[in-house]
Amino acid sequence: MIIDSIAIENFQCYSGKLEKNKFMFRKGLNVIIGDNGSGKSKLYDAFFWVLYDKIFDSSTRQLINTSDVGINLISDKAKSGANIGDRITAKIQMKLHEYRNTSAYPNEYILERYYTIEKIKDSSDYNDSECWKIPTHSVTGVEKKDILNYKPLAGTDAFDSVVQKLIPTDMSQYLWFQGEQVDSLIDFKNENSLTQAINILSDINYYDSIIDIAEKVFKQAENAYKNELRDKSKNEQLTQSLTTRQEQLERLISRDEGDLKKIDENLAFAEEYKDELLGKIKDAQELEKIKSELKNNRERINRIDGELSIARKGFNSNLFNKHWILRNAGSYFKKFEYLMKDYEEERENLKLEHKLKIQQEEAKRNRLPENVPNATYLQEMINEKICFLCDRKFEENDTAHNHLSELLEKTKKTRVSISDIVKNDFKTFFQNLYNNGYYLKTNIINNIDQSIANELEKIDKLEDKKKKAIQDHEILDQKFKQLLGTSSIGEEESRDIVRKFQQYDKDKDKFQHQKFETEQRLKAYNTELKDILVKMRSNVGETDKLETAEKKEVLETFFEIAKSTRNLVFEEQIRLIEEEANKHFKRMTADNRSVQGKIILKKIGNNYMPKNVDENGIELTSINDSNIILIKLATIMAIVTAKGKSEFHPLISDAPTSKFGDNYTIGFCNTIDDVFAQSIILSYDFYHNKALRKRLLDEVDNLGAVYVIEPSIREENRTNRKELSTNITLLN
Amino acid sequence: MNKNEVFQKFLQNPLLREKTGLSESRLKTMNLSSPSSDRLINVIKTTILHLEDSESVDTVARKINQSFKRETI
Repeated sequence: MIIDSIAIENFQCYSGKLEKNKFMFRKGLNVIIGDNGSGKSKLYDAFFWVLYDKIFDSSTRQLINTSDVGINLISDKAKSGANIGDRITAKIQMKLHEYRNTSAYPNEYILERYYTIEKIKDSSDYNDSECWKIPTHSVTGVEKKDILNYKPLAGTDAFDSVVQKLIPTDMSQYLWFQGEQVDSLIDFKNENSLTQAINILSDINYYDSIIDIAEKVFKQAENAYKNELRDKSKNEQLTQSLTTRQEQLERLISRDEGDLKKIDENLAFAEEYKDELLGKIKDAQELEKIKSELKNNRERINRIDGELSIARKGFNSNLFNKHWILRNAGSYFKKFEYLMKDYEEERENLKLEHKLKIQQEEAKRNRLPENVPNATYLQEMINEKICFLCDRKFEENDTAHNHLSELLEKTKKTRVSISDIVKNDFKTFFQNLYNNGYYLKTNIINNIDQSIANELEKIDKLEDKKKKAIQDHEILDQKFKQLLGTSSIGEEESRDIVRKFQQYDKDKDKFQHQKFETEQRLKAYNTELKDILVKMRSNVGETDKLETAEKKEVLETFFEIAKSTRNLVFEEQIRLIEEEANKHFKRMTADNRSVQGKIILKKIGNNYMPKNVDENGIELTSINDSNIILIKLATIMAIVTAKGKSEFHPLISDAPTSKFGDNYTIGFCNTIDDVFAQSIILSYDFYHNKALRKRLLDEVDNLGAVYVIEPSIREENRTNRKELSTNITLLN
Repeated sequence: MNKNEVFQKFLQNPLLREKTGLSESRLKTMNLSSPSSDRLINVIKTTILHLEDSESVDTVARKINQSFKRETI
């Protein structure tokens, strides 16, 4: 089917008659360009509403029925100008024709949907639902062109059957989607999505039905054979025991086959998850190694810092503990020695001066020479009681005796004591200081420089160690950042990846072991089961003919071949889709050299998932969002084209290229023509990007109609929606 | 895919050649309308022809069983 046109009347922002809001489409790629808020999504809704009576609610991201949308379906402009008794109809008319390669005249149809409300009450708010009589359902119409005129098609399902021809239900999700839905169409997390698509779009269900039939007839034939064996048995007891064991084995086989299926799935998932991490594990392990080295180095730096801190603190305390404060004090010691000598000399001089002074004073008083008579003679004279100067004798306590005694006393007084001269004598103190200083000088001060040098050397070595550790840290940090820059792994992710990888590896080993054991057991059970049948057969007698044997044998082979053929066809389908997906992927990415790898459809358990792999088959994990969307779009296109270009169904998509750069967008536009005879896409990308718009018009092959839509009042200038309509301009 | 294409898919399966012992050239000449003396080939044909007529699994299974009875008689 090819959509020729869609005309919209009073539907949401498309106010006015059908003729005003009409888009004419052609074969090839048709594009409707619009800014945000210009009415693209409403146009997408218009397509959906006319066919399915539903619109997409962007707030809930759900499709809602007309009855739930109510008066909001109708243009605000139309509602705001209505008087009581006025009826307003939202109407969409779609014209389409069957696409045919032959020259035969194609069938042409008109599909219409209406929704009419009637104003029954005035209100300041025209959106007050109380003011309107609102129907619960919309009305549809379908007409088919009969030579010249369109005539209504009879039958309750006539409308739906044309819709089915246009977009079959089972294919609708691949023909009709919003850009943001691409993720969920081929959901990389939902392993069934591709398998489901193949089931829908290929004839694989047909082969599944053949398997069902083959299994049914085989089981019937097998039972008949067993019954015949029992009936014709010559040893009933033996047959009974063999039958019991046979039933037991069948139960065991059924249980183990079920287990094996689960083990296979678990193994496939473990392998898949492990493989998914293969592209990341090397970087993750390297990042973890550097992280660990960085941690150790940080501890090393902290350790050195601790040692340095102790050494520096020790340096301060050593000023006192090891008398470093006395460094270079040796010269002061020498000075002190001189000063002390000076002090002593001065002290002696003072004493001498004082003595002299006393003597002089005495001499003045006695008019005798100094020390005449001296103290010895005076004492002798006193003792002998005779004056040696005048030879006169005297008696004790007479005048002469007392005079000489007085002289002797005075003589004694000429012995000068330092305390007579100065208040404090520091000689001893200075001497003690000198003695202490001498000990410090010889035992400590002379070694201080060496001691300081030793400590400084220790600090220098520690600082060198720290410097080296910091350099190592910087190198590691740089290496870490470089690796982070080139790798797709986040800083916090690596540990998780390494942990998961190890876990999946363990799981893989575990499931492989379980699989081996279960298969061995199953092999043994089946061998025993065959032996039982042989024994039962021999129990019948070699010459007795078994009527059911051949049928059982034929149908057993039929069952086996039916399963095998289905798998071959399915594999063939998978390879076909893979080939197609790569063709579309290559075309879409032709202008982007950074895109690497190819798409493979990888078997995971019983399902298949699209993967981007390098030439060695290793999954590329560093692909960005646009590449993921491209892979998914390529896969969707492949599903559609696996049976040849979709000549019968158009693609309708809102913002399919929203996550692409310019080259991908043009690549997509060119590729889409290989897939669909007609496609209608709504896009924001070409609105502001005039260069891209030019490329669309100049470079895209088989371009259909290109429209620009703009609101009559821009969103930022809008105070209400009463005058809102949509302007449509055809660009080509 | 039509019924002849489905039948061809079965004939192209190497397992069928192995099980029936029929040669590749012999299998290549076969089609849904040509008669065959091989019971397995006949079962496959019966299945495809009746499935094509949108018959249920049970009905097709019954028809296969009937075909065996006819051959036995």
